[in-house]
Amino acid sequence: MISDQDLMSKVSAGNTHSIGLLFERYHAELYNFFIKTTGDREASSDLTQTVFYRILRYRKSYKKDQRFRPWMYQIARNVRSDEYKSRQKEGELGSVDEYSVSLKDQRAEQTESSEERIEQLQLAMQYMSEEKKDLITYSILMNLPSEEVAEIFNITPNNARVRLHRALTELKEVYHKIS
Amino acid sequence: MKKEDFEIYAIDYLKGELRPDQVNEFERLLTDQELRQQLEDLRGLTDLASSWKNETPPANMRSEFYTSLAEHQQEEVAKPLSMVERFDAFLGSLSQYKNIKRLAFSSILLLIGGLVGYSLRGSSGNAEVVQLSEQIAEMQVNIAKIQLKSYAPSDRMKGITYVSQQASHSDELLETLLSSLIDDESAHIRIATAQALYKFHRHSEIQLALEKALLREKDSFGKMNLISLVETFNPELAIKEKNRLLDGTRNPQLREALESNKIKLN
Repeated sequence: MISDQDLMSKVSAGNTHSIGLLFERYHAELYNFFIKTTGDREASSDLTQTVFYRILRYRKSYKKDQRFRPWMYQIARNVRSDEYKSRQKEGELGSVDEYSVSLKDQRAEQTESSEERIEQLQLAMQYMSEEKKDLITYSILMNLPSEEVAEIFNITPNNARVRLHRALTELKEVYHKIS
Repeated sequence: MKKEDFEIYAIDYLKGELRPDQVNEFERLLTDQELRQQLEDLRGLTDLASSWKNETPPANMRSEFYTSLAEHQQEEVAKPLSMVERFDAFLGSLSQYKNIKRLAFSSILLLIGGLVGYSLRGSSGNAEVVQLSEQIAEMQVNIAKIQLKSYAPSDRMKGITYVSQQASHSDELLETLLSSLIDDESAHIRIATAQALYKFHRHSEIQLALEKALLREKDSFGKMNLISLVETFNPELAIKEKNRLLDGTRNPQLREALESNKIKLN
């Protein structure tokens, strides 16, 4: 199977058709990253597509042999941050209360025993800073290796591990307060 | 391993990412009651977080993306070149002068440019403006015809872009497009052609051509694109071809893409 790097190098060289395969590989994963960090399905769908348009727009800045997934997630974080700023300007930013309403839609999909605990965890996540939320999402929810997470944040792997540990400790405290 | 290293290794230990020697060293730390308790708390939290289910993206996300991608690609080829890019293209064309087709094409463009310039010089009054507009429109159609038959994919894409921007077309232009839809060597061009022709899909002739293209398409993504177009007027054929494509591919990404598509499988 052709590697992500090779596909992205082709896109970078002008073969924009190749981005279709990268879209097929990553759109579901990206969509879930946005859902778990924003709690907004509709916005997550738009944000996912925007990431791929931005990959096309900035394709020339991709360096050959650079790992594709960390690069893509750097773009994803910027896209979400821009969306946050634009919503803030327009006064459309959702509150935690609105988020908990949207969570009720997900309740039916969870099993009876775990549904409440998951809901509390989702709510607790919304009280975390963007960076901590992303660290937990990448490392625990998406199971990305520490090296890739470190690349996304431009830090060393050990630094990523320590920050993740502290983020989880904080999440645990928030979760216990809520529950 | 020291007690302070717990922060570094705890999560990798839980995720099973430590080497065997690191596991042994880390487990030695766990003789400390406080650290053991911390690890159990972390385990509870990470297990809970891992049970947060993934969701399937909305069915229309894929079709929206591919439609926008095709538009983007057409805009890319249609956008005016900068001075540097023009100079680069000029240098490139010098090296191709052995090719007679390229030379003929360049000469025709120069001739057309000269005619337009000459016509503009003498224009005055509405009748002349109308006549001039008609001449320019005719020239554009002629350029599009030449572009659609050019050996260079970028020229062919320019021709398709022109067609997709127009409300109606001559039979000759449509015939050229129909031939590109089936015979063009580039899947990229075939996809763009299908998108341009789809605009006229109410005509039975275009529907037949898109169906024929779907049956003959070898490129998986080209086929997926055609399935989404044909689905709107012949869902039965679209489902049949989708099932065939699904049976014939082992590519997990493509299978996932097909299975999550809004067309139902039989």
